[in-house]
Amino acid sequence: MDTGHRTEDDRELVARIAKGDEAALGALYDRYASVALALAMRILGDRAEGEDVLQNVLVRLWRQAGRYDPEKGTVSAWVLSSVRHAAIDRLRRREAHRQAAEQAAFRPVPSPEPSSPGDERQRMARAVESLPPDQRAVIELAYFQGLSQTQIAERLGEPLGTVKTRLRLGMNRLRQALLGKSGGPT
Amino acid sequence: MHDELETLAPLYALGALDGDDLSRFVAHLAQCAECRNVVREHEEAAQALAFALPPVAPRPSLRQEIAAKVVRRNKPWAPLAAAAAFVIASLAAVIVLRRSDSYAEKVVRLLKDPETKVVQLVGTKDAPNARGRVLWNGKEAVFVGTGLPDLPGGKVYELWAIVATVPKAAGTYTVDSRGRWKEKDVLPVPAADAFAITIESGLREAPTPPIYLLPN
Repeated sequence: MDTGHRTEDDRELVARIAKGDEAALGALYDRYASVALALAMRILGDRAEGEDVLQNVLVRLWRQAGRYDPEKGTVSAWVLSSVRHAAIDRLRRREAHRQAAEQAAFRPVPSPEPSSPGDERQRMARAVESLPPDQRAVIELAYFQGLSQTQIAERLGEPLGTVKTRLRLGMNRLRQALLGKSGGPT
Repeated sequence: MHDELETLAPLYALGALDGDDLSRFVAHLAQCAECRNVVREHEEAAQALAFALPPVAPRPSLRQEIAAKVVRRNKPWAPLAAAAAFVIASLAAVIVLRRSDSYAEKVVRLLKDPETKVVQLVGTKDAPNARGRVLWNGKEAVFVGTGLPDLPGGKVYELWAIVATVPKAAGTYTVDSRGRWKEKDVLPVPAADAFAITIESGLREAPTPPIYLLPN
């Protein structure tokens, strides 16, 4: 999904962060902060909490950069999955407000400086938009709400098997759409 | 077996698996490089959901606030104190029983280490009353647990350090004839994203389902 050069750059940044290079942390921040914040805010429905999560993840990343293993995936996947997990943990802690967060008609402010090249971002957005609505809905409940297959089935009143099939078909479609044009995973 | 389990890979990558599907798939992953690869591809693909959102610029001061934080990080471990207090209480009995200074010293060192974090584990449906905690500083770990199923003769509890999606054996624990933990030790754990507990016949390379404890 990332271009080869970008992935290499990212790994170089993380290697420098592991050696205590603050400028490298700043560069990584500039690259991913706005997409990471969009993700945290989509999950939490709140800017202040989203920024708090972003800050915590970056500070932790500073300490743990030495543990990054390129074999396990790209830097962007590592950063975004850290943000996602931290935000979902926080979401679960305020279970009582879940309903409100879900219904918050949140309108994010577009960033003046996208952290990812426009065409790459558009390609990803197109891939997500190409999903059939029922598949996209279950994937988003898992990704943004942190719900398990059983919880999604309960939430939607659908059989578990149906939910599993939609998750699988949707993810396969997403993977094909993204890998198909970039020549496969590194 | 493999083909059926591989259909679970996209759900695992989304964190949507639960119950039997989760424990069966985690056990399978340990032995299947192909599925690990498929999971990784799905994890990469899932990023598209984040990248497809309209980006949101953080408040301008945030960058500087983070920079200030990482520079003057004098590693306070106060936030850990509450969680650590529980673990100290849990470990105290064990330390007294064993009277092993080296073990006690190692645990205290772990508790004082600002890098140490406490990972909470909760019982799966196969051990709904089980609870556990792992203290881990990025190099060494200690596990304490309660409510696990009794150990059949000759079996051990095995702690797994799950790195990305791959469970790696961290070490084993046993109990004495009265059900008390024994032979506890600080285990070397160089990397972990999560921890899990199974019951095995000895130190194994791959976990045998069911899994009894997982992070909540």
